[in-house]
Amino acid sequence: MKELKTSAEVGGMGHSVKRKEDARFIRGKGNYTDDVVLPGMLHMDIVRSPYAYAKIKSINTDKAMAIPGVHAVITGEVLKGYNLHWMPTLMSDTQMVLPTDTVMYQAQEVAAVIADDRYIAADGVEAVEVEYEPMKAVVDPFKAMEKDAPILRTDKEGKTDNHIWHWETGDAEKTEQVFKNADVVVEEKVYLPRIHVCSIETCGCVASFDPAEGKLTVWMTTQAPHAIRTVFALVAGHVGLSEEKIRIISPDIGGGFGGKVPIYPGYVIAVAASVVIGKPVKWVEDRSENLQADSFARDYHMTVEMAASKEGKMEALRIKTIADHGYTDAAANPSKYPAGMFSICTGSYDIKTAFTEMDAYYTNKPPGGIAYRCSFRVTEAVHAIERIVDVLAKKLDRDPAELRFQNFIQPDEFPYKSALGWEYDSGDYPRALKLAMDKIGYEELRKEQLIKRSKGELMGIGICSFTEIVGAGPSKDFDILGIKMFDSCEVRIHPTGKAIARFGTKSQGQGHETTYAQILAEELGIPYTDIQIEEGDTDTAPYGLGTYASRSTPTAGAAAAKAAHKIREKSKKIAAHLLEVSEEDLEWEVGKFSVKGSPEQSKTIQEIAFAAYTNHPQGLEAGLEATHYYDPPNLTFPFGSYICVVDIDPKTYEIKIRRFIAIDDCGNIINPMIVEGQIHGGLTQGLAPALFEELIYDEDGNILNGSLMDYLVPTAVETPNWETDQTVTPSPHHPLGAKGVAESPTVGAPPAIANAVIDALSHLGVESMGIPITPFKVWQVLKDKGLAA
Amino acid sequence: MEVKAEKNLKLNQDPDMIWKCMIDPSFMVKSVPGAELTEQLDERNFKGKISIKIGPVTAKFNGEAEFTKLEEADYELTMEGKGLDTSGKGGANMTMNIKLSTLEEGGTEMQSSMSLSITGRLAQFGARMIVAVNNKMFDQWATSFTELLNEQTSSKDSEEKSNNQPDNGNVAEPTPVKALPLAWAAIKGLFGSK
Repeated sequence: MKELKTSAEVGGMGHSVKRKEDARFIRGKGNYTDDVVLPGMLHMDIVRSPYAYAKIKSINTDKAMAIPGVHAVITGEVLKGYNLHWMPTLMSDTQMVLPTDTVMYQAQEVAAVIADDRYIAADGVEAVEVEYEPMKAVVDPFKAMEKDAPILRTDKEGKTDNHIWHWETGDAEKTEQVFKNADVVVEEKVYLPRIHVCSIETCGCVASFDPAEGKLTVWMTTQAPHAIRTVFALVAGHVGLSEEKIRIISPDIGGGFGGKVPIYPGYVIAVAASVVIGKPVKWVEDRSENLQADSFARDYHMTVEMAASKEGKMEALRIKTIADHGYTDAAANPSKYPAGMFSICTGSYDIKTAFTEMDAYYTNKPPGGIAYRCSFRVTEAVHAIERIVDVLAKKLDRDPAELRFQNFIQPDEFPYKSALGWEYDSGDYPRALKLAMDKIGYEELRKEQLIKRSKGELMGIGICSFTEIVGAGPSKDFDILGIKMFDSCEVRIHPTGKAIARFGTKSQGQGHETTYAQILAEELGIPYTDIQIEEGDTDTAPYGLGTYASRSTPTAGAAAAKAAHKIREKSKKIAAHLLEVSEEDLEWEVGKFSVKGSPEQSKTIQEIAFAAYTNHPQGLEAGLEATHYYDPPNLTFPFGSYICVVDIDPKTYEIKIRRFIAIDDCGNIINPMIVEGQIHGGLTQGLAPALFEELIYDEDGNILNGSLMDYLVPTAVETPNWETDQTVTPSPHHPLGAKGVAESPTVGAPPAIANAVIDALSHLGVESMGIPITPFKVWQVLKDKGLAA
Repeated sequence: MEVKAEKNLKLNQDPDMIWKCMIDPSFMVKSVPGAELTEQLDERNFKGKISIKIGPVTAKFNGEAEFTKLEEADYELTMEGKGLDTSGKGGANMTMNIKLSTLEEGGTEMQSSMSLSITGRLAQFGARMIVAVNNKMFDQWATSFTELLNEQTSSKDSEEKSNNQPDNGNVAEPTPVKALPLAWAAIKGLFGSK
């Protein structure tokens, strides 16, 4: 652990201070979108398609309009009158706001009813009569790619197939060469099924258009309010909504996990309704709508191959992926990276040659492909590499830990240039795995496993040594719709030495109000309790791209440090003036400038702040403020090693996680308690797809588990006791040496658990199993081998 | 999604009599819970309604059905039906195969199989519940079909009635099949309450 520079009272980096925002959350005083109530506010509910693919023959709104309290029924035809029936996605694809002729997935928005209250709106939805002509849906991407498959996106002129894009990186020829000459080649098919973020708060907004001012204010559940404002201005500029007249307020958010990055049709319809009707309109999804229609995550079909020497040296990696994007590519990746950061797939290993390619397809399923608590497809990449390493270990009859040690990038090889082009900033992979093995007692567990096997008991040990890539990103490569992925901080020090700081990011539960205050406390010596943090209001906060992909600490956190340094520079001038010495004679220690060699002569930051407004030097501007837009020079590469031990009931095939140890290295830690909380939550969200969660569709595109009765989100009952610890390898280029942590556990847990279950069955000849690994699947695989009744 | 069910019934009547009832839509519709005949187009084609309620979802299907196979010599028939929910909340397709054979000890064995494919709100309830509901409906149909046959045998009047066309202009709402208790039974089953 890094030495603490500040006192507990100041509460800078490394202090486990309690979260400031929890004072209101635990009292039920948070202010979420659904808490916003405006005078004259109307409510919206949405008619959704029961079909995955159908022509709309007619929409009859008469009965709905006849219900007392219904103000309007908005259809695609209504929006078409304003040319608002289509919108762009963040990936420069196009998406219907409301359809005029065809529905493309089950639960797609078909019309919206605006009424006096939510109940009348729901009655109105029931009364809208839509006549459909169902068509044969294409649900499977492998069927979508067939030559005679129906072409789904007939709205796109000249489209002759369902292919969206091809992406590849690495050296195909050289990779093929290495594979040809390799001693050993292994292959594994890895499918990461569709899952959903299931944040506790669903999506929604309150759109309020003021006809007198021509100003639109939208409270909405968004992780990226500034980007949303710009997109709204670009999409609705033609109807008079220019950017200075749009204010997006992202109030308290009950979990985002990437699901609140995209712009959903509901937001746009509510805005259009408010503009047309001239009254505020509230829209809040119910739980099933959220699960059925909002952006999914994953849905990658990967074929992973590894070439190695017979001594176990990994020589080449090749991955071919089919990506199912649903009806439109509405992912939220940086523009130049349609497959996100998937090319981190060489992982923690020194693999000199690699090639990966991917093809994305349209299907009749909801759009998305968002990064669910993972920095743009890193979960998929890590699962691929961590599975194939275990497959190779099995093939060579090697211990999976030992094989990892043999192939790790070594600590002295950083900065390390990967075969697929990333420059890893820092790492010490052997140390993290060694610590995990020591803590869990790896050698003893292997011995125990041998004994258990001889008794017919099923026990498995799974390892995952992942490398993450977060903090997008350097502006030369990273943008969303052209907007560079910097982030920002604006700090104002008040005359009494207290402060307010505003950011372009937006916390959804991460604890920014505490951690950002701690960063400023560290750099300025002002107690964290004296620093107010504000985010999410585009009228007041500096521009930024928002919070997702573990980017807040790497970008906005760095911006806070840099803004603080600017404050310090000006403070130095004021201190020199007050102490009547030259600036060169001053030195900074936490919270004050003092004269070198004469420490009793000093001015605290509070005294300096007061002087900035009451006694500032001639020729220097009054006030004490700074703004910084931080453009990171590189991404950061958090890493870790997880070990999972499972026991499988030989009769019911229930999978019990006996122990799970997570060693994380996210560089220097701002608040250890918040980091631990993040890891606990992330591990549970990693447990979910490993053992429980999958959105299941039938051949007609019906979702078969569209409510939380059938879609299994783990609760405290299913969650094991997580054991956590850390190593600290600072990022050399981040001003605080920090890296970002929120997503590591979501990325690292699923392969650790999958590897453990497969390991428990490997002596029975089981080599592979797809997640979620349910007791039913275990039974099936053993039954196929004649080992179960 | 598609669900299938199979059922064998032993009936007291002889195959010829059962066959005549089966190919008469106005007779058959009475045995289907929640169903109603609205129009007979010709010998093989007719239109009808069926109403199903599962929990909060009520679906009223307007549909068409056709005997796609009628082989009296072998007493084998196939009926295909398809319907759309009247307010656009989903659709259903059904295929039913029935084969009759004479039993040595007297009476008839009816072998029937049914596959039901549904889209929309009902399908969203998930396979488990739909299977349970479908099985229960199939059971209800079998029971009421048997009862109706027995009534038919004991009453000569009914033959006349069954030839009447229903009044298209003034059709009472069919009583929906009450699937909520069934669904609840299915849910309770999940928790192993047996």
